[in-house]
Amino acid sequence: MGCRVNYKVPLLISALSLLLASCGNEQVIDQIELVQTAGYDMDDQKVLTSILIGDYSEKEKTRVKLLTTTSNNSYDMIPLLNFKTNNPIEYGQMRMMVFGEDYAQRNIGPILKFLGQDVSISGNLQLAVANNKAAELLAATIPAHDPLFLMDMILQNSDKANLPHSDLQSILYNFYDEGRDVFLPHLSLDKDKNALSDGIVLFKDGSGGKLVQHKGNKEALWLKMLLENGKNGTLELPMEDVNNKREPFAFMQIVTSKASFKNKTTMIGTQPSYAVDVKLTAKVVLKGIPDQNSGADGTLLQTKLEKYISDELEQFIRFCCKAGIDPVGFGSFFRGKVRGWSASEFYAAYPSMKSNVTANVQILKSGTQK
Amino acid sequence: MQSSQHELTTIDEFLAACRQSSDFITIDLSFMLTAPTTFKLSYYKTLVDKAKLSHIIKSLQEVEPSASLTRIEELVAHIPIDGIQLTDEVETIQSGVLKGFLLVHNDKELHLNALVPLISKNGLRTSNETEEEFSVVGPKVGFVEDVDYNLQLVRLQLNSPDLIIKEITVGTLSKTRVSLLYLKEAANQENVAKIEKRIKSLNFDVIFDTTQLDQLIADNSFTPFPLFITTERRDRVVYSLILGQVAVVCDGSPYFITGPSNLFDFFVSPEDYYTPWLLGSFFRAIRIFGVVFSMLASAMYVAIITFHYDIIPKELLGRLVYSRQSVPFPPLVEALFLEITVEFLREAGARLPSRIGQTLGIVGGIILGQAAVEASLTSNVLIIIVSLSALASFVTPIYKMSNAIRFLRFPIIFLAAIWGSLGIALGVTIIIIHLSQLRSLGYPYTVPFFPLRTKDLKDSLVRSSYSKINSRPSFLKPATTIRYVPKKAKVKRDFDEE
Amino acid sequence: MNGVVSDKFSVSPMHLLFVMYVSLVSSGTMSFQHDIAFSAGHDAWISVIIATLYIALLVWMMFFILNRQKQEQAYLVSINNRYFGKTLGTAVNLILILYLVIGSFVAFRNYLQIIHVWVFPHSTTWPIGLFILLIVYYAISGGFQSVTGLCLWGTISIFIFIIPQLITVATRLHLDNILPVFNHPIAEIATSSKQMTHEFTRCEILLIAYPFIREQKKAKRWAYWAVLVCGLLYLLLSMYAIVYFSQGQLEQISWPTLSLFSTLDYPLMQRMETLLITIWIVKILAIISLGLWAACHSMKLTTKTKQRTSLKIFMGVIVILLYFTKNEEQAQMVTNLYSSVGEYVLFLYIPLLFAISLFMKKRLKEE
Repeated sequence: MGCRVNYKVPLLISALSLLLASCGNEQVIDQIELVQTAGYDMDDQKVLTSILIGDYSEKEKTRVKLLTTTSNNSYDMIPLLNFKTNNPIEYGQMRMMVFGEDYAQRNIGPILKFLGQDVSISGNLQLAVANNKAAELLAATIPAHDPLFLMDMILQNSDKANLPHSDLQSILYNFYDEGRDVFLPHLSLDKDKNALSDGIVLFKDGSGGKLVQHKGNKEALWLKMLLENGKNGTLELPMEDVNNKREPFAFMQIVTSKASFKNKTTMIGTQPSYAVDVKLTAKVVLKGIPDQNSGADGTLLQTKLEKYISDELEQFIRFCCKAGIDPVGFGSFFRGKVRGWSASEFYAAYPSMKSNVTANVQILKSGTQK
Repeated sequence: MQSSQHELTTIDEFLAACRQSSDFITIDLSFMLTAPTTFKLSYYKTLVDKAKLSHIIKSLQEVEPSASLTRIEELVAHIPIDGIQLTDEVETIQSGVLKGFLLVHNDKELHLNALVPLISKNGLRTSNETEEEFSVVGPKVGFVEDVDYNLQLVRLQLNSPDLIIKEITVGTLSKTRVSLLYLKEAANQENVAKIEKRIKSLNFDVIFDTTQLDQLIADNSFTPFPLFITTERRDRVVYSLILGQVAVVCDGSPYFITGPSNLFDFFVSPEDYYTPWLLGSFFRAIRIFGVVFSMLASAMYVAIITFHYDIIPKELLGRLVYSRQSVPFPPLVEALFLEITVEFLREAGARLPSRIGQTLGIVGGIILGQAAVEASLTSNVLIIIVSLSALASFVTPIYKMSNAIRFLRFPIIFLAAIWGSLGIALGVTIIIIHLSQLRSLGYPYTVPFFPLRTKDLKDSLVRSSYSKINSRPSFLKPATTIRYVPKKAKVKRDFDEE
Repeated sequence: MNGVVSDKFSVSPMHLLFVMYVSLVSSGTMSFQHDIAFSAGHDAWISVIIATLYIALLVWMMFFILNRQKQEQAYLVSINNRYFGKTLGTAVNLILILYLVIGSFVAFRNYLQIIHVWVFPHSTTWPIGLFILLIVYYAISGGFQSVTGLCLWGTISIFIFIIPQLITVATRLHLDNILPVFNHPIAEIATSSKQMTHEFTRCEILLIAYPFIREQKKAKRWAYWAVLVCGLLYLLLSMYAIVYFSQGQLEQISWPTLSLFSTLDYPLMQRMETLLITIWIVKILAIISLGLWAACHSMKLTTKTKQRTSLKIFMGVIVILLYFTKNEEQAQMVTNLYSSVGEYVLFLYIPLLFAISLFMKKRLKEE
């Protein structure tokens, strides 16, 4: 066997040396500029692209560089930005993309398709819509010394607060699914020019990803409770207070919640009349409530809370139905339950979809209260 | 056997040839003894044990003057040493004298001579502690450079007539005694015959060490992998014999080779069997992980830094970029520079006495590394990776295997620099193909994984408990399969019941 | 010991599992969900089951054919010669050999395509292609045992890698997508099943490798195990693709299996698809080597060409084909051609052999 291999060695070595000379796809990590956050804005019918690049030349401190460029389309940002840097720009590490409000008003469909087809872009990319200009928002995060500040903010809010989870993969899922519509987190600046996560933006896929409405953190929580087995959402609970002794709002934190849907569709002739029962079970902790959660008062409070939550959810669903958008995915829910489901028929009947929400809330004791 | 020496046909010719050396001495006994005799003693004074010699002469001098010492049997009867051979074959006499036997002869009766073993063991080390394959738990009995002593050590532990030792002489100049050991109830006779045939057909001048023999009888010389286990530990040799392998040792070497071996034998340490099987398995798994890590870590660094920046998680990104920031070389050069430095250190450390070696390690490891990073010649992440992988390459219990692994790192680093992770995968695949083509004594090298022998997996990557590993590995095709009968499995009892 | 080939070159029956696995799980594993979802949508997994059952039937037929032969003649070339006569048999053999070579080329070309799209979009892939061919040559020069070894490691590596990944992905599934079951007409599921059988077009390698199996009685079991394992793997991957992507999305993605893993994030690594492509290379090498080995071996039995020579010729054919399929469309053309020939092999050729051996059963005893 040894002799058989022998003559192959020089062959192998020459092949190796030949190939060593022929390779040229290097992206040595310190010789490229890594885009980590990008923003798109409209600027006089042109697209204004801004990117944040992490500069790691100092040990403990990351400097963040902001570069901007304008172009006639959304796709040539890399070559244009390359004019402005000493190293080639690569976007394989891009994890956050922000659309300016005016950019998002135009359809986001084409850019989503583009993102979905580029293999360099991770499925973990976070997308968000900025209140005003994305470039301003990006500029506001420079002092944080973290080019992924916005991404971390969104992830943190999804894990610990009211924002439903979303990333490029789930957004594309919603976008391409005929029974679901896209929603994106919404970011804005507060009066001190700090970035702030405030709620969600709802889109309608049917018309190529049209922005429909911005909704606040409360609605974000309702959506989150309907979509996932949410944890850690918080809410201000309005308390009717006859004596005016306390603050008018109590604080509610959701420990766990689970929504289950039941198909109640009935056939009227050949035409189905869509109806759904939503049952929500949740465990919550309340703060800012006087010592009344014992005995009859406790049950009273619980009933009130259940009613409040179910009313609010009902309202949210009604809003979606009226606006003809489906971030919860009722369409895909019925597709699995009703044979012969078709998207166009369903969304024609969608505004008149019946829904009935029942909430089942358990109030947990918190702290050392007795 | 072809030989560069001309054949010496008579004893006289032989003695004449010997007398050319100044250390060859012939004493005429007739001047020294009171009893009349015509015998002479011839020997190499450099080979014989002087104390024994003077003891012999003394006891011959004490023989009554009336006693007859004219016949060789009579003389020999007065020599207080065992193992005296009477012979007239020139060849036997020649090799005997050259090994340190005392030749008793006279000028008249050429046809009968006596060989008295007086082999001097001077110059051999007396300590037989294991040096290379050290273990914390378990016996520290190792072998020395004397074959008889080594065989004695093995026989003392394998107390059975089934242990068979065959001696073969190899080497046209060295006439080295090579011993072949096997356990009759365990070893497959075919293996014994195969290895015996290979040793007998050897044509070589001087055998210095068993490791040479290892290469000479290996199935394939074009491989970095050792095809036989080389060990200086008694327990390892005995364990191999029990499993049905064959052991070979040559005189003058403290190493035994055992075979047929497979890849996973090289990751087995005797300590695995002295610790509970859970821990034994864990440490064995750590060892195998260490080897894989050692082989691939630097290459992965090169691949990731050169091509796959997008697979670095964002938490690590900053550190990596910062550490590479001012390094002027491409990652390949950087990695090769450090790898070769480590090889220098190791090679230098191995050639120097142990105390200087330690100092060298400190100088090289700490000062050089520190300075290289300060001077921005390498990134400190790479220093960590390279030193970790150097460390990991030494976890293999058999030194030869760690050599192979260190050697294989370099082509893989090159491939990683050309095609990134694909290059690494291709390199590993070549190694896999190579391994599955390798044979040790005709047996596949990667058993029990390929060819898959599910029964033997229980003592490969993991070491199962003694009740499970009571049979010999089936891929060795042993003569009998069961080593011992384990205790009957316990009946499952309920809690608090007997 | 009852194999025709000496013990030195044959393998134990269990290894048929790996050989069959490699010949059944081919290069399309990364993309088949996309193809079968076109006609059967979210019911595509049913067509995976149907196709697997058909392959199990084919394997049964092949064993039936083999058992009808004399033991030392139980291999493809001699079966063809016996059933179709010397001239026609040789022609059939040569066509099958070419088919095997093209099959290896298709696997090779598809993998290069994946590398080109996912790993090195900016550079040419022919150098790595040539290097892969060199490795294949090395593997085949070790004979059937060496190829089997590669098959074994190819099988194990993918399983060790893919199963934990699938478990990690499991938190992101939309199980509703499977419902309602059987929402597509039979015709669409049938089309999709036929599409699915394209993944199994190398199964006739069983007929070629069979003499190299020791204790052939025990081998049957392992072949069925291979079919079962492949079926389960395909089923799992298709189910995952259906519940992980929405229908519209699945039609947009060319390599769903790779996209499945692109969201995974570990402390030491993200973008697991790169790692999957990397590990997949062992499998691809096994596929190419197995196909070319089968071709060389059959060539030797048909025309008495030395395997070393024919291997070099086949490598040359692959390099030439590589040169002529510069863009994706041309590569797709070869793949389609191969698949349509594959359909004839699966639906016509093997059943035909089966039918002939049903009628010729007596001859064995007379001889």
